[in-house]
Amino acid sequence: MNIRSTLQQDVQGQARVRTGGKLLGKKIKSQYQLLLMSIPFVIILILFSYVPLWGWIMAFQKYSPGKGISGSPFVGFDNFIKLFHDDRFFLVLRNTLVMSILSLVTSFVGAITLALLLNEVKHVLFKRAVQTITYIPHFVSMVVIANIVITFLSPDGGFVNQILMATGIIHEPIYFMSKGEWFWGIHTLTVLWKELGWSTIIYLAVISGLNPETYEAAEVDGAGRFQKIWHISIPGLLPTATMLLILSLGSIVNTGYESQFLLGNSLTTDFYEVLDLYALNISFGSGQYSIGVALSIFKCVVSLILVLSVNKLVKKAGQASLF
Amino acid sequence: MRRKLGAGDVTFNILNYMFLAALMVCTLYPFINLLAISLNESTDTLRGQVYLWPNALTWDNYRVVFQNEMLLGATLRSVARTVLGTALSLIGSVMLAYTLSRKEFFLRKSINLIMVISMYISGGLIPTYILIKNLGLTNSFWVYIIPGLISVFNVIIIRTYFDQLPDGLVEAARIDGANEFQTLFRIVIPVSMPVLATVTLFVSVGHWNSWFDNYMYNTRDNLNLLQYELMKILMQSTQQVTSNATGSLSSESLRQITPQSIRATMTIIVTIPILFVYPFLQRYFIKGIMIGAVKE
Amino acid sequence: MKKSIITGLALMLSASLFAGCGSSKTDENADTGSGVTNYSMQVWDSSWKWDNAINQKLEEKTGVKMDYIPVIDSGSNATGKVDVWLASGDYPDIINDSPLTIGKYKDAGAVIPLEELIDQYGPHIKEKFGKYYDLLKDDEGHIYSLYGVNLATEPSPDSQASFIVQYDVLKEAGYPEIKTLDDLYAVLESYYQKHPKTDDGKEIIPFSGISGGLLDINPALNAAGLPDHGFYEIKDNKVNFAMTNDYAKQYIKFLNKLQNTGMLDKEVFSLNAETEGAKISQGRVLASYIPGWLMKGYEKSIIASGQFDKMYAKLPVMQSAGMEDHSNGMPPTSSSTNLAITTKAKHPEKIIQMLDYLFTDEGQVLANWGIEGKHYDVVEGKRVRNKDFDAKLQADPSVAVSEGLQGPFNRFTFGNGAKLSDGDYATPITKDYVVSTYDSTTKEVLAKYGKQTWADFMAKPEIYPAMLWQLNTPEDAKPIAIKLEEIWHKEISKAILAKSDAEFEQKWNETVAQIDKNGKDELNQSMTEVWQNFMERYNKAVK
Repeated sequence: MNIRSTLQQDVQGQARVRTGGKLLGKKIKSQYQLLLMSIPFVIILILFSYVPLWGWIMAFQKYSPGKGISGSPFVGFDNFIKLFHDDRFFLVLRNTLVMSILSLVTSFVGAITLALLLNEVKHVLFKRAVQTITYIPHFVSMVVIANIVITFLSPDGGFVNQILMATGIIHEPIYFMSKGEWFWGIHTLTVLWKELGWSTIIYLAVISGLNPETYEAAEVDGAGRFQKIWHISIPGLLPTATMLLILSLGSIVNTGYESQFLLGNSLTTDFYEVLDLYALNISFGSGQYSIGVALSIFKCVVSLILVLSVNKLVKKAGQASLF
Repeated sequence: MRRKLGAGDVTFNILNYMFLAALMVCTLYPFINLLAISLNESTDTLRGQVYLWPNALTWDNYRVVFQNEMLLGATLRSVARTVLGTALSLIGSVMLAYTLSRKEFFLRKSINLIMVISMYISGGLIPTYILIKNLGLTNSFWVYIIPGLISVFNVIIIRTYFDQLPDGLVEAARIDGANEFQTLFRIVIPVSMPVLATVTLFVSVGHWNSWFDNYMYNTRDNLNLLQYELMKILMQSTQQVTSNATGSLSSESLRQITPQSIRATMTIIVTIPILFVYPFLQRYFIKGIMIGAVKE
Repeated sequence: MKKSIITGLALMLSASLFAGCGSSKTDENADTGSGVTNYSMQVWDSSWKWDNAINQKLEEKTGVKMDYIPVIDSGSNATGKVDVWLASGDYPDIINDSPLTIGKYKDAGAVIPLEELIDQYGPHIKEKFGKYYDLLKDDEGHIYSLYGVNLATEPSPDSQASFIVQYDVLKEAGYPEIKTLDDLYAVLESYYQKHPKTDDGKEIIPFSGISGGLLDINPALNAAGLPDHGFYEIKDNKVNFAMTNDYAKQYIKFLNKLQNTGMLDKEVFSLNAETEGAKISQGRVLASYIPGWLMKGYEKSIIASGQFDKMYAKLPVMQSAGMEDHSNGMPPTSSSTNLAITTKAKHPEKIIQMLDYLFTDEGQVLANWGIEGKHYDVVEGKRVRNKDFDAKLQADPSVAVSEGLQGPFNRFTFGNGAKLSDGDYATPITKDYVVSTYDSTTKEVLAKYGKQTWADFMAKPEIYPAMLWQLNTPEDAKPIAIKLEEIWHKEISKAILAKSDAEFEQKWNETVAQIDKNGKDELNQSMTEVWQNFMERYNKAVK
């Protein structure tokens, strides 16, 4: 499929060199249906995603809504400098990256594993029940989830401590939430628990779209359960998985701060503070919008570099890529 | 299918079922807990001993939430938004994804690039607001539908699925004289039900849960959605805790509703309808296989 | 099947089109025919509705009707909607926000000066502000926003100190005077030794608290007898970051001592209002620092469970015996969420006339007491809350909102305890009323101390020109303030957990060093400037 498409593009490329504009007119004519199907939506996309980008000017201003873009003074790269200048920035960047990567990996491995396990379940009702129930926590707000986690891990009669004490593993209750170095683990597990079922849905859909004849043929050939998973299911999931991986690598710096903030406390500050929270704290003056926009430009640059380069790598490796 | 199960298979099945059952218990807990809290007297909930069932059963929390006379209209509008928004978004995404899966489409690369970049950029709230205001979309139902019509993420998901379809499918249809629209709607869509069901779920959940666009762009009560009305009730109960104007403390004043109880009740109310969407869509996960098999 | 889906879709489509059609512009201060003018107004509480008896009366009296537009995205640091309005020129007729936001609107020329309108249409505003009237003016003599003036000279009868001690602990110790942290420690220790567990076998927590400012900042300053200027103290007209002072250290040392004797809550750093509330309502917490607005919710839960001896006394606790208590500071105005009129408003004089009405005795009675015969009665020449209405209010506090007794115009109250020209109180929160809401156990406990209300325990109120948090923090200082607060919480937690005195000293010194390093002086300097500028204006205005 890839070879073919590249070939085709090459042919197109040569054609373009040769005949230029004429060919374009011809193409529009022959592909007008495809244009009709795409252009209106591309226009909407450009309108709502690209047109507001004039707001990026604010990142180079000391913007105040009262003065507006035209009246606010330009400050060059001040806002970016403010953002990067103190040493805390790197600590915060570390926290952001570590928590992002941990969540990314666990969510990928978890979702694909769960999809494969569910695919092995032949009992339809049970399968549907598992699917429906595991995705419920997605709808529960993080405030509630965080409170449940903190209560479960509480040293004052929390469930986990009670179990550990009853089984004699520990004698004094552990204050889990006070340990900075445990925060990343607790945070990762909490997010995994909340989002696992939700992120599995897409893989389930892809597996059920795979051709059952392939499975039957493999069975005739005497393939076992794990061989079928390894040779049919996983390769079938691979294009979607790769795609999602590239996309989520792009948002590795976009963590939000709600889950970290709600689970963290003054003892774990150095481990939970992420980029978005940090920006909120420094931007509390009225340069607010400017710093916020500066951060979003920074994140955009990081994201695009990541997405485009990973995409290139993947393409080189011969896998399905974004474009 | 009729193959005899080996000992290893049986062990695997048992372990698998046990693991999944355990997972269900874990993930069901927050919901059960919220259900219990929503059915419990809020003053008792405050004591923090509610886990799996209500200690002091009451419908008060629901009564307080449903007291809001705006709720019915808001629910209807939320349903309208979800149905209409999902339908339009799905149609748009499918068409866009289809054109991008056609290798010979000459704008394919450019559109792909425009799409992917758009996922990671944002001009911020102020320019977006000004744009939406200038388009005349403030105080209008369409602000719920149009700006978010195309979700690039979903388009990419659909396109990836289309790319995986057997190569001959589209070509054969085109050679048979079907135009692009016919090919898409008669040939491609019927064999793509699993992914379309998934995207339907993603989009409808997104629409159902949104309230920020309502809050930001529409100030009229007759455009308010369920999520926003509930959000306001939650805010109100939070305000009540912090207000001391009534300043009264007597044993009759037990009907005070806490934010915690309201939050639980709200979550139950908005989650239950959306929970029914998924089982309904699940059947397409299986149907897709059969159509796929027939087609080959 | 297919047909029904299509029909359904078509129905939805037409329904939504219908909904969309309602959006043609009809307002613009429409005169609704009866001489009533509509104004759009920003409010902070989405439950507030214009549509109730009290506002109806206000509308009749003043010919003004408000369309509330809720803004719920943040506290007094308005971001989001209010700023977006300004940037897009799409703001309502009335803005109701912090001085900071109103400053932005002023810079953009979006709000109008009010002084001439007040001269012409606001005689009562002028009269009631009296010597504080000029405080409304900025340096150029313009008034851009309005707020209430505090005419009360005694503390609100429903105010209370924030250190709380369980009745049971006081009873067991024979109702001693608890004046200092040492007194508090002693009663807690002796009670805890005798009762390590509650009657139903749960662990007792001698001292607990909500993490953040309520654990370490507010109680430390409160115990030092300082008025609430945030985490600053003002001395000799200079503002200082207060948390590195010795009194703060003493309070943290108190927490450290509790920690090392096992009397501090094991998870004190991760408790929020909800989880702390649970512990308190279970009757397991002996003492804590919880402000009244939170306490009232918790106590409802304790009362519901019928454990009246597990309720709490609210006592001012000082660091040491000789210390003076100046914590009960009262500013002369209620400036913080202020009302401004934008250039969109047609006939702004009508709004001023309406506000002026709220400054009359009649307006105060309407806004605070409600309607005679419905919300209050006059008994022997004095206003009292209507019995039926009071019962309804006790059963469901949200009635105050739905009836219109709570709303954006409450900011213009003269204050609980203030008197109108008829010699009667301006608001229903009178001492008698507050006493009538107490249960019998509370009355007994109060009687042991010879007091009638918790407010009686508080220090004599002192009028301060303003509280520092009412003034705008300069934009450069705000990030420093936030940073110092974060550092403080982070570092001081380690000091609270210190195992020995030496370790405590070391952690304390580290905290101070960190604070010094991260811009304390800069913060002090800019806050001092803010204060001195204000004081200059204040001294000029209030001769």
